[in-house]
Amino acid sequence: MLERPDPAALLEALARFLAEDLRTAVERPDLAYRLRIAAHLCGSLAAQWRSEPDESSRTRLEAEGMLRQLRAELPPGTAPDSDQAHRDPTVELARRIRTAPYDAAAFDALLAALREPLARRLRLRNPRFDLAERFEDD
Amino acid sequence: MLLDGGTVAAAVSLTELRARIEAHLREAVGPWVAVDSVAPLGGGACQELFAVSARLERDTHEPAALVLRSDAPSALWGSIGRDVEARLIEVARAAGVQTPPALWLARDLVRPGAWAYFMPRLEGETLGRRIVHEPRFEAARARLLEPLAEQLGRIHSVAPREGLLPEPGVSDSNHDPPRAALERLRQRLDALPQPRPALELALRWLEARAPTDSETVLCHGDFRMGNFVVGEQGLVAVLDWEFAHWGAPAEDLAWICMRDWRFGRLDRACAGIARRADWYAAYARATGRRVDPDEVRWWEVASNVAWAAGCVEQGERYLSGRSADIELLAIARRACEMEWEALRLIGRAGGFARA
Repeated sequence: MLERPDPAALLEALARFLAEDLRTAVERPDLAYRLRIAAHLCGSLAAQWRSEPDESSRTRLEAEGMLRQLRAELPPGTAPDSDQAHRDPTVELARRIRTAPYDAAAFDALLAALREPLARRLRLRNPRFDLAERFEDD
Repeated sequence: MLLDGGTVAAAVSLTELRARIEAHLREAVGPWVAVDSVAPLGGGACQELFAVSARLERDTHEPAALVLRSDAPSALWGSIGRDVEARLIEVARAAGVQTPPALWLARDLVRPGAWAYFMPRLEGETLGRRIVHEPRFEAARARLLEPLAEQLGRIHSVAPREGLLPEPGVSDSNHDPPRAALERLRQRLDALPQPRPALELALRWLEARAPTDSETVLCHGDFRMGNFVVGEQGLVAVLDWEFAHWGAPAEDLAWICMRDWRFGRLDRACAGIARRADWYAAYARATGRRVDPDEVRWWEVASNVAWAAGCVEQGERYLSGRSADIELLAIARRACEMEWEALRLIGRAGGFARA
């Protein structure tokens, strides 16, 4: 259990302070604009923290999962692991995607897998971002 | 005080800047010039912009409204200097592009080593969200498409020449814009502080599907809502040549269709104001070029990859201490929007199996 106030509560308080208390005190338009940005960032970080207090562990697990998937799809012996694989699976995943032989099935599977964490991140960072697959004027 | 919403590198105070501008304009225009005011302008996340009010004519008290556009202490990948930009603007104007002239080029005005020029300040709106959504621009929106297509056609009428832009080998018949773009993207992804698997995957798709037989022309490089001055009657001017380069016509056709420049109007792919098919048809009418929707789609994926990298790079300008503008961090957090869109477009185009 975290000591109160937890980071999300602090960030929410900061967002309110910037957006409500300071906003009326700032007259310079360029600073007022950046004040809105700062308030928005605090609010967005609070939402992220409440939903996912340990984003880096989750990102790591996801990258490891995709690496396993990519290894299983590719023919044995192609694109061997570098030393990076254990230290940072995201680095290794990126390197493998760059260097692996072209494999439509493996890449299509990755395409689907990579979109899941992106969708999750977008729901938190920009709830108005439309995650539909197709649009009228595609 | 700090300029540019808090630029870290040494910039002069506004009082000193006013004095320097006055001295420069007296030399460039005449000893009668008087500068009334200098104020920082928001809105330029890349360049430093100042509103300058100056009396330029000998016998007038009527001040002229100018904008001073200066190199910022840090720039994005592919950004050209203000000295190159000024030459390019002359070429674009000679080709009939509606863009304000770059006047009285100067060095060291805002900070040591930085180039800057002046341009007349135009009446009109540049903020994309307002142009796309506000009722007062309804008539303008209805008549923007043809002039935009015509302007882009004029830009694309400029054939490659050596020396205008810092890109060698462009007049070579082997110059291949998609290959050149892929090489640029690879370099940009390599330079990111953290690798982005989604962008790497998009790059593999782009490599497998690169268009062939592209024409090489002058590309604006940032032809989108936000860089157009729009009045209630329609298009006033095209601005911001910072990312001009030699490329394929389809590249600029795609950039204006990028999701991020539609300001929420996802049903109107062209800048949030027009249907995709109408945009292609308007450009074809204006130029006589055939538009290949698959080729434009390829460039739209490439554009999203480039802008995703650009968002991360904007954040790095802050994190490296080269700029203190907090907006850059907010932009960096939006990189995932462009990643999503690149992968969505790839999925819509059939993914990898059809590549």
